Amino acid sequence: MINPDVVNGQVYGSAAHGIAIALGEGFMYNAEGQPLTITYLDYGKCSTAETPRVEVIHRPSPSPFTSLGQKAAGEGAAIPSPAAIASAVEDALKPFGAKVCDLPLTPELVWRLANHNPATERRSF
Amino acid sequence: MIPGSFEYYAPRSLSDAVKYLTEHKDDVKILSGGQSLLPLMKMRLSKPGYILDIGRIPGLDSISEESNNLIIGALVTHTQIEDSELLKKKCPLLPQTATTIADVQVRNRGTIGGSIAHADPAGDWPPAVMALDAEIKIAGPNGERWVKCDDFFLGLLMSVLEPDEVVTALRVPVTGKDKTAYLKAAPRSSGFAVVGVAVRIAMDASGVCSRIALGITGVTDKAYRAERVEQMLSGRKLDSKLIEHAAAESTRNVDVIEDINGSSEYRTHLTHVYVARAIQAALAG
Repeated sequence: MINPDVVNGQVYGSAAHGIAIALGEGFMYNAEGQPLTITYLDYGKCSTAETPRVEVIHRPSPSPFTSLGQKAAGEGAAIPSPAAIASAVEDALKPFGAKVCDLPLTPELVWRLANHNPATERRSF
Repeated sequence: MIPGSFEYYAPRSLSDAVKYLTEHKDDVKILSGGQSLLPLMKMRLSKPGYILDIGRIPGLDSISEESNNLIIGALVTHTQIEDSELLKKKCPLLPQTATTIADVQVRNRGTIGGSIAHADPAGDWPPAVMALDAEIKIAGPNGERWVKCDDFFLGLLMSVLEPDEVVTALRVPVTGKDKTAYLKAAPRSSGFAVVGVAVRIAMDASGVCSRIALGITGVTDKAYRAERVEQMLSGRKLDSKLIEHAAAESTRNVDVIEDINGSSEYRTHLTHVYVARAIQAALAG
């Protein structure tokens, strides 16, 4: 890696972003299409306080096509983390037979899943 | 995020403040800590032509004890309440409630008088002062008057406060041996109560609940007393089955709101859970 700090920064940031996507971030609209998420007061981002410690393990695979084997690195951790959290919640809710089909997993959605409420409203994005 | 233009006035006396309010009562807003007013002005939800800053009026920023009551000035900040040794000893519900308000920055600036006058339906002070049967001191052109908390809040951001009146203090009873607690469910980003429950319980020597008062916030257009729950529990020995049974009555005849933080169905469920938990927490504390 040319600069590990830059790569790690991307991974930490994207992991936090992925966790927030799973648990809090959602653009909400009412039935008339009026946006309800209009400020950061309404948008459940993870702050430092809610972000867990992230351990990064690199598995480098140098490119045969570049001078030093270098590749680009980006916010990769945002992709698997929502799926990992959704699967974990689904596993925790196994006794209720719940299937997680929607994000973010707000307290209300988890409550609806646990109560096996078929009226669970899917959010519009 | 830039407010409209306004004239600013910071009097050094209450009489000057009331005079200014009387002159501009159709278009004036009172600035205390500014933690509700300024965001509203920045979003242009409020565009007052005149701002009356009461922050430099002496005598409104202290906490004192008077016979069996505590007098809290309107300009006392949430942080002052959180840190007050007097309140921790004489009325611990207030410092406990203060610690749950928003974040440190807001608590350092925001005041109890401002929060109560604002009458936010998700505010933390209204349920606490209602559970304490506190009284609110109001100054206006006709002098001063005291209003019971239960009579103060009328609806969404509405109270009995007239446009030419200002909240100057609160009178809160010393709670002594009574058991108290404030519990709330709130999203992390704002700290605004989806539901908040304040409770005060008096027990007699035989372990019977002789009196209970419950204030609830975040659930409808204003904070309210859960009178039916109070009736079901006073004069009874409190066990978890009875508490849960009574808590399920805490939203009866209440028009439970729906917003981004929860449907009315979920809020109703959460209210029942938090009423029971708040009572248990008070008993355990």
